[in-house]
Amino acid sequence: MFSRIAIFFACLGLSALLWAQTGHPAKGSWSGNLTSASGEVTRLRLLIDDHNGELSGAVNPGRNAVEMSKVTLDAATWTLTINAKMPEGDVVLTGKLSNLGSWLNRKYVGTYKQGSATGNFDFTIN
Amino acid sequence: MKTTLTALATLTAGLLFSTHSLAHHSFAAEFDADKKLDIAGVVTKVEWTNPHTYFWIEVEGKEGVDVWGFEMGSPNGLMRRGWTKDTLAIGTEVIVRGTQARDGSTRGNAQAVILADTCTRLFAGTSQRDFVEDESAKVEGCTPKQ
Repeated sequence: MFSRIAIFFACLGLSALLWAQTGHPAKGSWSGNLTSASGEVTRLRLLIDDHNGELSGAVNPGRNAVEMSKVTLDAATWTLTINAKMPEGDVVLTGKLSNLGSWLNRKYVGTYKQGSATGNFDFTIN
Repeated sequence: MKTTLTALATLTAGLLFSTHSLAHHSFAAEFDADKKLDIAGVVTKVEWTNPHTYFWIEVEGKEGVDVWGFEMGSPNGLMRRGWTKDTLAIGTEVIVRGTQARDGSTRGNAQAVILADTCTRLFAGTSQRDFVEDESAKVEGCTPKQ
């Protein structure tokens, strides 16, 4: 009798852990910097959500949030592309997701284009 | 075989529950009531976990951005005080009043969270025993942004 109860609780605990492993790799809150070719650094936050594989989100969520106009992921190369109409001009971020198995150190690194300006970006999941 | 299985199952269950037990500690063991904090930032992450709810903010400093993590009361305790899961949405600007960790790191125990847009003060269910919530006190240092 005791062993059945013990096994039941063990399974209950394991099921909770398994439940926590679900989710889209791009989904979540990200923070990082855009660094222009001239060395100017701009801090940005991204909030990405997933609705059955369809991605959406906001740049700098909060009072001054800008909705992402398009978010696409090429799962073959883990290339994530984000388009947003920022007040300073339309921006396109193109980069790769890495450290996908990491809970705290998942990275999104690549290059951006905003008008004639280009540069690099480096985001880490919060 | 049966005894081994029982022992294994009990060990597994024990290990799983021990992580929750480790997260529960006294206020004085981790935080210094004399190290007062009054810090403004933007919410980047919230974890509604038992026995404590945690949130993180980005704070603009002179040498870049610091990330501060704060402990609050249990999810159930906060909800009884009027909190909802949307109260601290990602990107919310807040002022956090509380105390810093004893080790001097960028971690703290939140006594109150003030929403910068409205200057609404929310008590954070601190585990500090001698902390008195004074709802009549003015929220100083806050001007509504809307």
